[in-house]
Parts: sequence; structure tokens; C-alpha cells
Amino acid sequence: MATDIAAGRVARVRQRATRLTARDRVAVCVMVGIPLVFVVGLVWLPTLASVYLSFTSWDGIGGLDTINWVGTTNYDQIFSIYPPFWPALRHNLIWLAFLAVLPTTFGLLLAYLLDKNIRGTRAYQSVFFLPVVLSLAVVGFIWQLVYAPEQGLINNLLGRTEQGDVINWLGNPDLNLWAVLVAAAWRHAGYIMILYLAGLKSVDPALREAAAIDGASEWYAFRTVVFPALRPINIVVLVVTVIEALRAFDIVFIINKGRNGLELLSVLVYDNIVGEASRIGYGSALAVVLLVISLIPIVTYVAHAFGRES
Amino acid sequence: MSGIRLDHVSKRYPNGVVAVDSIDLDVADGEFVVLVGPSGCGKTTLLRSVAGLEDITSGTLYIGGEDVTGRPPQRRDIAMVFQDYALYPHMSVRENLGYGLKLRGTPKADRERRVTEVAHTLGLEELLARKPAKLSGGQRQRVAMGRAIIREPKAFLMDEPLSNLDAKLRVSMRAELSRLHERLGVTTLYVTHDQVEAMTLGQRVAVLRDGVLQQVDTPQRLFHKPKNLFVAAFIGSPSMNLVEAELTGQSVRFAGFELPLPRRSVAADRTGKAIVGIRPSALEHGGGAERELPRIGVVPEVVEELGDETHVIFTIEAPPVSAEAVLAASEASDQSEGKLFAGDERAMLTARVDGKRTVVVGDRLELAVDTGALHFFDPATGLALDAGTRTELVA
Amino acid sequence: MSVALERPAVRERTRRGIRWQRAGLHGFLGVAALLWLAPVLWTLYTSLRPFSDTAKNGYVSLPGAINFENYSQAWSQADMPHYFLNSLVITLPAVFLTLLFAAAVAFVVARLSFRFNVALLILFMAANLLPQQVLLVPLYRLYLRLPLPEFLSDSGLFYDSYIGLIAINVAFQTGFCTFVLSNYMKTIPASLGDAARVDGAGVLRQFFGIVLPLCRPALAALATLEFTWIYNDFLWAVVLVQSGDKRPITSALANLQGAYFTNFNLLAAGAMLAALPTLIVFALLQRHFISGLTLGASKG
Repeated sequence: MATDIAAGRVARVRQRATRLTARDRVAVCVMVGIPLVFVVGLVWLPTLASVYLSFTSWDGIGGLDTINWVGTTNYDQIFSIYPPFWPALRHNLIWLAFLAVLPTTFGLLLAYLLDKNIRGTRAYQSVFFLPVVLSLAVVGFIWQLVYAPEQGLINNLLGRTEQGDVINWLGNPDLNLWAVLVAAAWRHAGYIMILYLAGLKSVDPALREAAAIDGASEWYAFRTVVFPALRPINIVVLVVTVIEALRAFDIVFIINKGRNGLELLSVLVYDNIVGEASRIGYGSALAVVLLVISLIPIVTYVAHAFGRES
Repeated sequence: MSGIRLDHVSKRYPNGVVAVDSIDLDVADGEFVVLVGPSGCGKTTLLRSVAGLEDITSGTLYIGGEDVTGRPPQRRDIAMVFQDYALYPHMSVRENLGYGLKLRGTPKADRERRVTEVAHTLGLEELLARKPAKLSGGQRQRVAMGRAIIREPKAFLMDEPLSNLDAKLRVSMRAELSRLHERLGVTTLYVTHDQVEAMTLGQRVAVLRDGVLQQVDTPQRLFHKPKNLFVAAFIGSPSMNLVEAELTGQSVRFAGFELPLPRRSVAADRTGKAIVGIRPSALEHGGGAERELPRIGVVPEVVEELGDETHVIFTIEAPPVSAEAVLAASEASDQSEGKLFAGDERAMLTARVDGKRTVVVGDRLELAVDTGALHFFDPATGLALDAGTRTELVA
Repeated sequence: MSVALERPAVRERTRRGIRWQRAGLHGFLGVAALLWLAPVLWTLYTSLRPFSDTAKNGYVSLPGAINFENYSQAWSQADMPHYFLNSLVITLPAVFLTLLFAAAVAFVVARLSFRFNVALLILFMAANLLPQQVLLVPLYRLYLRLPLPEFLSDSGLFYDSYIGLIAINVAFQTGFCTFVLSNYMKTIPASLGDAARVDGAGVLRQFFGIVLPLCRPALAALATLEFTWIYNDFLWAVVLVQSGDKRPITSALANLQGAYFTNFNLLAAGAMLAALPTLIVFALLQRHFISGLTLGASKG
């Protein structure tokens, strides 16, 4: 049988004619095009615009021609003379560390315990998961009732409701961040629990059985067999935790609009852009700082998701 | 005039891999041709190209006499049966059968009529309202066939439709497919990796390797007259025994044996190195064979008693043939595949003897060799030696 | 003899040991669960007590009376039905459009092979992971300038309109759904698409007739998730809608807080009411909610 189609013969190259008819091509363009317009127009272009604006100064009121380029002035000012910046950054990092350590491990613990399929697993799962479906604003409300100085649950249980004796959970800048973090953790743990429950289900039971037969104690088996098998979920959990920590806005805003110990980068952005005396460039620079920090989990997640793909 | 004709059809992927290499194939009107070869040989790609699911890089394709190169699948008037049946899970059997007709705008009354007809032919009447998930493997296969039949296409294209069935069902379905073909007489191109299926179903069989057509012939001729080492090693179960040997002009010498060749043998009067092929069926129990046939003495290592026949597996004092073609035919990546214990450098041959004879492991046995049925191959090219050409063999 | 005596004792010990373990487990989980529910139960409790009752006895006290006074007050005085309607008008179309767009893009990316597939997917996915604040500034200014025909928006602009909120929610959430759906669609055998092509189905037919119906579980899960997330959205509403008039309920709560900041009972009732739809969805469709989250996490 002839095998040579190489040099000398003109190979007639067929287009993808058999693949898509003209009608199909139009359909594909529309199916991808319209969503693309939304996502690029309302998400990516604004992001790029923000980056650009961070190098400008603008009050937002005048037209586009009143924007003037100031280079890195905004960034310099943020890092040196803007009082709430460093506290806000610190608070965001504390938020991240807190979430990563406490509710995440607690969620893992809950997932591990509930994975044993004891009676009432369903009910327990629902209880811990409940805060996740609540709006963060509602969460803020609920915890305000818990933390209220004179009528709140905690103070009344502790008996500290007299005027001079109250613990001002939300008003005291030394305490309020931690108080709010408890509320955030309350919600975060349930989310993490669900992710780990799914992850545990996908761990091959044969692995655990083999470990048991080999004589491993439960903790040892967990440490050496189960936890390593959870690696893909761990990455997701990490990304989710970081994203949540950076996004934190709603709770804090509801409680006291992010002042007095509850400064966060997200709130600072809001402060600078909404209202009459807006400092757009400044706010954008703050947003870009947030963006740069977020790129770490985003890139991690994308690499993880697509690394496995190929 | 119906039928499928491939004229120098090639498919090359953007990364340079050539899946189908300039294939010429003529499937006559109403003929049942099977494409067979090891996995990765390009047979499925070729079938999908005929269907229009993949583009052809060069060459022309004719279906029913028309040039359909470049036409989308729905305009080629073909029907396809997939390996996993590809039944639409959310539609009932009735809807599955009628889908193609519906898309073509067949009026509802006609559609209903044809669905009833086909359901009757294939015994699916009771199942029309069910969804595929509630059908057995055999039933799903029938629905897949029904979907193909109902359109009355110019050609059927089948992609390993039996490989998902269990062994016994597969055998009975094979017979059913043959009967169906008898009845309907539609041109069929059928792909499988199972050479037994190929031999039993095909009126002609096309053996493919790495995108290149090796031989297209009736099953009989493929079996008795393989054109090269690959076809010889691929067709036949148990596989043909292959050994490196030396031709002396009147005999063939290997592993300490010397077998005289009959005058009419293709290797008569030739000298040099060759690869000799002995079908397991060409080795008989010495006790019952004709006196004139030469004997070889072997010590059986494994005896497989199958009732009707017994497979006797023995080693000889010669290394196994390492030709690429042979490895490719057995889908082995190197010599050590298929071996559990390392370090055994001797070739293992199989003989197929009458099941009524007693063979004991370790007891020396005399096997008669039907020297008239030996095959010979040029070790350099892998091609079978035949009476026509008298190429010099390496001494 | 000694062996026979030992065995029953060992087995009993382990059985008792397991029972203690189980009891400890339930104890721990039980206490944790109670602690977890406490804030919600407290809010519920407070919401059911009339203001006069708590004003007299304080909040941490046994109830003098239990009624739905606060609820009816929140409902009427705080204009809740209006805000609920706003939320629905925004959330339902947003969920629908998000899923439609996501399914369309997922279909192209998962079932057809183009060179730009991976890039497209990354573009969509990452869009969902960006911090919302980074979009705020330009979006705010953009919305203030983008015109909308009068009949679609009172203000004549994207700003302060339902469409504006729907649009940004859709744009923001589509990425996650696209990712999940594309993974899900990959599990649909390619041969189904081939069979449909041979049968004569074009791209749209394959999408609406074959692939989409088979995605029902994933779509249900995502619909539940997205409903909750979009309903609960706070930031977009606060920034992109000005008048209290068009605000969805979650951000309207902020108004409520401003007006009745000392009446905790009323606030509690308002919060419970606002959370009600998500609680109902949660109670009925928890299974879907969870599967939506896990589909998104375990990547196929």
C-alpha cells in the first residue's frame, strides 16, 4: 500500500468545513459573545480602569478630561501618610490568619466527625451549615444582638450590664475586631465543613481499611493517609479562605461602617469613592493593593484547576 | 451505485501525527467490510472521517457514488452505531428511534409508522416507552441498531458495537448482525480490535497498522496467505508461531530442528535467513498424523485442555522473534510484556492438537509439522516470501 | 480455658469503649451545635417579644408575652414587601441569565474544541475571584454615565436601576457557574454529541435538546447557590443603587437599622424576615446547595 504523501504532492487541505456549518458558527459566536460582553465589559474593563485610575487623581465629578496623571503619588501617600491604611492591612491579615487557623481546622474536625455517619449527621450538618446561607448583613445583625453592650446576650449572661461595667464588644477598638472575627468564623466553619465532607467522601475507603489492617491508630491514619489524600480540597479551602478574608466587607459595614478598630481595606475603598468628596485615584490605588494580594489565591486556584486539566 | 470509496485518504493532526496514511479502500455496494487492527492503528479515526465527524486532510471520499468530502455528517446519508450506543438518556426508546427523522423534518405520521416497523423488526415494541437507563445491554444495542436502520441510509458505520457486551452475548449478537446484514443488504463498514470478530463478520477484512493499510482480503486469504509479518501475527488465535530460521534450499533449520520442505513450497531452492511461521493448527500430535510429515520432539510446559482441542505450549532453543511488526501485532511494548518471570530468553510456541489425545506436562511429545502449510517471511522487510519474487535473502 | 474467659471480656470492653466514644462524640457535637444555634435562636427569641416586654424586663429574661407584633410592624412600617419585591425582581432574572450564559459558554468550551477554550475559561473563572472592590470605582462611574431607555429604568441610567444590578450580578457570577457546568458537561459522553451530529443536529439543537437537559442536577444545584448568593448580595446594592426605593432587602436592612437602632426586637424581626427566603431554600433544597458547592470545589 502506498505510504507516501510527502513532498512533491500538493495536499489539499480541508477546512473545518465538516465541523461547523455557517449557522453553527453564528450560534457559537452568539453563545460565547454575549456572555463575553458582560464579563469583559462589567468586570475586566473596570478592573483595568481601576488600575489605570490608581495612577491618577480625580474627584469623580468633573468629566473624563479632569483626570490627571500623578504617577505613583497615590501609592506613596497610602503607604506613608494615610492613617487608616496600615491598620486596615493589619486587620485584613489578622482576619486571614484567624480564618485560616480556627474555623478552617474546626470545619475539618466537624467534617471528620460527621463523616463517621453517626445518627443525626444530617441534622448536625444542617445546624453548622445554616450560617452560610445567611446574608453577611443578617449575620452582622444577629451578632449585634449578641454583642450589644446593655441588652446583648453575652453581657447579660456575664452579668456586666451596668453602665460603667459593660464590655463594649463592638465599640472597643481592642476588642471589636476579635468579636467580629468570631462572627465571621461562625459562618466560615460551616462552609469549610461542607467542602471537607465532600473531600472525605472521595478518599478511597480502601486506603483507610489498609491502614487499619496495618494497625494504625486513628490519629496516625488521619495524619499519614487521609490528610494527604485531601490535598486537592486543601487547595480549594485555602483559596476560599483567602478570598473570603479579603472580601470581608458586609459584616463590618453593617456594624459600624468600618471605623474605630474595624478598618478593612475593602471599606477604605468604599469610603474613598462613594460620596461627594471622592478621591477616585486614592480609592483605586487601595483597590489595586487588594487586587495584587488577591492575585496570589487566584493564580493558585487557576493553576491548580488547569494543571490537572492537561 | 452505492458503496464507500476512499481515494488516497489521509488524516494528519496539527501536531504532525499521521493517523490515517493515504488509504485506498473500495467497499462494494452491500458489502460488509471490517476494519481491524491493534488500538491506536487509526481504524476509529478512519471510520469517523467517513462519518464526517473528523476532517480529512487530503484525499477524496465517495459514499453512494457521490463525493462527500467536506460535507457535514447529516448530509452524507450514513448512520452510525457507537461503541457505547450513545442513546439519548433523557428520551424514551421511541423518541431515540425517531430523533434523526424528526430533525430531517419527516412528517409525524411517517415517523410513527417507521418507528413501529423498526421496533417490530428488532423486537422492541414492549420497550418503546422506556428510557435507556432501564434497558439491558443487549436491548440498548438493539435500540442503537434500530436508530441506524430507521433512516435507511446508504451505509452503516459501526464502531466496535459489540465490545461492551459480555462474552456470550457478544457471540450471539455477532450472528444476529450477520443475519441482519443478509436481510437488509446495506453497505457496512465495521471497526473492531477483535480479530475473531473481524474474521467471522467480514466479507472482507482490512488490516490496519499505524494508519497504513496492510492487507485487504477475505478472511480465508488473510489467514492462509498473510502478506507480511504483522498480518500473520495479528490474524489467528492462538497466534502464529514465529521463529528465526535458516533456509538451506531443501529444508528449514531452526532451534536444532531441520525440517525438509516439499517441492511446491515457496521457500524451496532458497537459501538464507528467514522467519518461519507455523500456525498452531499446523502442529499435530505425532501419533495421529501422516507418516510422511516430519516430527519434532518437544517437552510441553503448559497444557490447556479445552475439550475439543488442547493447546500445548512448549519452549524451543531459540530466542523469540523481536521484529517490530510482531510486537506491534501483540500490542506489546517490548519483549518483557506478557512475561511474569524475568530472564527466560527462549521462544514459547503453541500447538493445537486433538482434544482426545493425552498430553502431560514434562513428558516428551512428538509433534508432526505440516510443512506444506508453513509461511516464510523476509526478516529485513517483513514481507511474506512468495513464488513470484525471488529477492535475495541475507545469508 | 483462660482463652475462652478472656475473649468475651475483650469484646465487651471494646463494645463499651465504642459506646463511650459515641457518647462523647454526640456530647461534643451536641454542645457545639447548641452554641452554633445560639445566636440565631437568640435573634428569633428577641424578635418574638414585644418591645414593651423587653423594655420592662430586659432582653435576657423569661418572656412576658410572645407574639408576632414585631413582625407585622417590620412588615408594614419598614415597607418590607416592597423590598422583597425588589429582591425578587433582581434575583430571579439574574439567576436565570447567569445560568443561561454560563451553560452556553460551558457548552462551547466543553463540547467543541477551539484553541481559545482554556483562555476563555480562565477569563470567566478569574472574574469571579476578583475582589468586588476593585470593580467598584469604574463601575460606579460607568453606571452613572451609561444610559438606559426610560421604560427600563426610572433614572434613565444604569445607576439606580434593576437592570444595572442584574447586569453586574450576572457578570460577576457567570464565571463560577461556567466552570462548574463545563466540568459537568465533560462527563457527558462525547458519543452523544457525535450521534446527534450524525442525526443532523446543529449546535443549538445539541445545546438545548441534548446537553442542557442532561445538566439538570448541576443546574438545580447552581440555581440554589446562585439564588442565595445573589439574594444575599450587599455591596453591589449599596453602591450601585441610591434611593431606598430600589434597594433589595439585604441592603434595605441598613436603612432599617438607621431608623430603629434602639428597637432590637424590630431589628431582629426584620433580619429574620429578610433571611426567610434563604432559610426556606435551605430547608427544602439543602441537598442541592451542598452539591453545588462541592461540584465547584472538586474539579471533576
